[in-house]
Amino acid sequence: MLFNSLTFAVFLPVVFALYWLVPYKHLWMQNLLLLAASYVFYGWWDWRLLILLCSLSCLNYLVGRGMHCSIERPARKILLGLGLFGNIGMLFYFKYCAFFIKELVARSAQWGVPLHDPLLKIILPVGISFYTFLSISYIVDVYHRRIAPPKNIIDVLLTLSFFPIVLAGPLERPRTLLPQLQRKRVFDRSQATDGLRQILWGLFAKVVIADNCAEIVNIVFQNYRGYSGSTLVVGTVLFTIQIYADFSGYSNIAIGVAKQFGIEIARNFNYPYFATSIVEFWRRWNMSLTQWFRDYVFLPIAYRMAGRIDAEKWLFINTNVLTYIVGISITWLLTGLWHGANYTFILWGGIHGSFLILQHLLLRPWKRLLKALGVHPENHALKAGGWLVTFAIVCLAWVFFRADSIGQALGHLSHLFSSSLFQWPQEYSRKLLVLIPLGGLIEWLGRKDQYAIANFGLHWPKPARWAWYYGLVFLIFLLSGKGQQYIYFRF
Amino acid sequence: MRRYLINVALFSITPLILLVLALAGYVITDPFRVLYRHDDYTKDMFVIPSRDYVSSEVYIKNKDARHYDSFIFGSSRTVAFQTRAWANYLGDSASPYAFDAYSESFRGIADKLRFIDQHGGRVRNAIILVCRDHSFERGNDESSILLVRHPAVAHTSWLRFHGTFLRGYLNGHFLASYYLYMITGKFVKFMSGYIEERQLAYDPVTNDAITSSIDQEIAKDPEGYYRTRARVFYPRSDSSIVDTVSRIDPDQRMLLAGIRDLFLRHRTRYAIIIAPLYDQVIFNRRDKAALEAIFGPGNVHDYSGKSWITDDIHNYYDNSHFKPFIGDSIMHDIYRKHDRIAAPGFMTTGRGTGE
Repeated sequence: MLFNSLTFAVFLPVVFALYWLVPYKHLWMQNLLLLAASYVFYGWWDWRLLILLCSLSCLNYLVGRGMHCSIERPARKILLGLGLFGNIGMLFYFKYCAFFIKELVARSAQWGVPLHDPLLKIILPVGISFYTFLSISYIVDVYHRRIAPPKNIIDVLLTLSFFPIVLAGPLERPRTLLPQLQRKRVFDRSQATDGLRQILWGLFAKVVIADNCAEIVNIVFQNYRGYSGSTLVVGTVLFTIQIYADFSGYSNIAIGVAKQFGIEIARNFNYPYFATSIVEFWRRWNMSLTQWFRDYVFLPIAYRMAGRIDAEKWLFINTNVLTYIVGISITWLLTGLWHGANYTFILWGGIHGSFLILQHLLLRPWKRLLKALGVHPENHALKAGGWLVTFAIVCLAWVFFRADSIGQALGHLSHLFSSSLFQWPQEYSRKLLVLIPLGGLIEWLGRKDQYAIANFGLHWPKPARWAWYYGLVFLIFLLSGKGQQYIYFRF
Repeated sequence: MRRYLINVALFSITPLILLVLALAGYVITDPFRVLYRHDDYTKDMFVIPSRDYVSSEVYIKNKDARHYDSFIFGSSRTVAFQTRAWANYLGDSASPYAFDAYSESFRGIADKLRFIDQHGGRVRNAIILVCRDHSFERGNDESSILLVRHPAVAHTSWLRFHGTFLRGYLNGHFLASYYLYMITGKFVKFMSGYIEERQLAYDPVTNDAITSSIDQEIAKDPEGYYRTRARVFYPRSDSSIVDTVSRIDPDQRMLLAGIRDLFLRHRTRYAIIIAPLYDQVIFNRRDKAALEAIFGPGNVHDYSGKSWITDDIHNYYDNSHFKPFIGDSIMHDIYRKHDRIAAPGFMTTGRGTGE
């Protein structure tokens, strides 16, 4: 079920009421109820996929307990390997198997070795990319003794399937979620009220901004050959806004829902489109995923390389720089691949990885240049320039993310940068011309808060505050675009 | 907790009152005409309805009195095939009916034929209009009020059917458009997609679309009509384009064979007409061969691609719907070409599944 559906609007209050009816001293009952609710929520999509989620969670529980009970390091390593094989294997099978087989068949045909294409029709379980990563976090943290695996299986199952975050994140680490689930929870009115505000803002972003942008984005990307460059610019910028509003909206709703149950989920977006560099952008965008890849991919690679290369330089490149380049390249190619089984995502990841490496390499020369010119790094014009360049790079990279193929993406870009760039756009929306600046202004004003309207109007008298909330509800109701699936559900 | 719940309850009072009022309005006004039986589903109807539902309901209402035995199946493009014109080729005893639906697929047509058959109806004559873009769709879009199908005909859930309309009604944009139009009687641009800008009437007996209002508008200022729609009538390619995507797979073949078998049982005289679509794309050759193998080459009439019909924009109301005089011309062409259209047992009737 979707967060913005009537079904969920009934589901949430029922679960909320049952949850807080249970006396808090019966913690296991509260967790059991949440687990049941999580399985109902997930199984609503397809009950067969619930079997997969449940089995994977049980595997991770057993692996965790096994590692905890084993003192010998080899035994723990074997169990870790088994757990990783199970999780990654499952992800690979459901998400990438058909793609790699198709590629193998296509390449071998090119090389003159025809292979039979088995025409695999594998359903992609919704949320699999997220809950397998949660699972990997769990078993790796248990292995490194960062968390103690609970004896109570309910706690583990719930950690790996908590319904607000199971489908599309945020990727809340088990080491922060598990202690909250093992602790008594007392109803906190201010937390719950804050959660409701966050849900409201998330719904506004998703239903009003993202879904309305999608109507034009879909048309423009489908028929890019028939549109002027300026129209393609409109489509590209609207997709940039759509994906942010969609994903941040979802994350805000997820965090707000979790707050209703006394659970704190870490923020996932920190106003990324205000970033003035690519590095800063990735410190603000989908932070839970970026941090996951940093902790479980980049840092292990970097430590391994640093441990193996003694020399200060290797192949004439400074070892630290080389480590960074290799680490970032692998991390970002995998980040791209995580988003989908298509070369477009890998290329998108590669583009961002390249700019991160470039920024890393140019950082010192840039600072020296600014010093030589007597320009302060916090200079407003410099910041504005940095913002513009960053936003442009991010927008253009999104074209690869959105396109169905690299050919389509390149075609889109070549049409974009044609002479028709200076014509009046053929597709635009007056509604969005008002909504987007309004949304952007609210985000700017609230940029120091966890989410844009966290403190907006809090000091107003109650009637004014409620009028503001009613206004948002009215806009959500009136301006909801044609319902679109959450973009990150595809991952 | 108590204070929180009280605040939530108080905040919810206003939206709940509005919701109750809206629901009352839904029950009282029945905007989509799906809650109650109506004598005329299209009179004074300004909300765009589910064409499948209306066509099915009108058929159910009138079938015992009218004994319909000749049917035109297809999408909204069947507006070009008027039963009064078709009747000239059917004989005096024929009782024709336009059994269309928006974006109709062969799945929908098969369900309608089965429904007619199961309720004792006869199918003496049939025209099926094949559109490359709709006819081979598989699933039903139960989430769209325009495309949702009549549950009795499609064997789907009545609960889901009414749920679709209720959800469609509780859309803020729809509510605003609906009640604003109801109060003012004036169409405003933001209502498009929910309210009919130009009310298209349908004959309450034959279910024919009555195009007189749009025909009058064109007659008043023909050049103006097409000039203001220059973006709608997009330029076509100078060279011929053939559709390279084959849409008839083994499942579709079975479906089509089922339709053919029903025609054989009813000894139906039928014509499968591949629509002259504005995009001038030639129908996929493999699919055409499949249709001919199943229905008989003499019964499949291909009007796709470049022709005197598709070349002239004045033959169309928009880039999708061609005019009734084109339908008349096609029917004249078909019935004049062979006086037979799949006479039962005639050799041109296909037997296989077109494999």
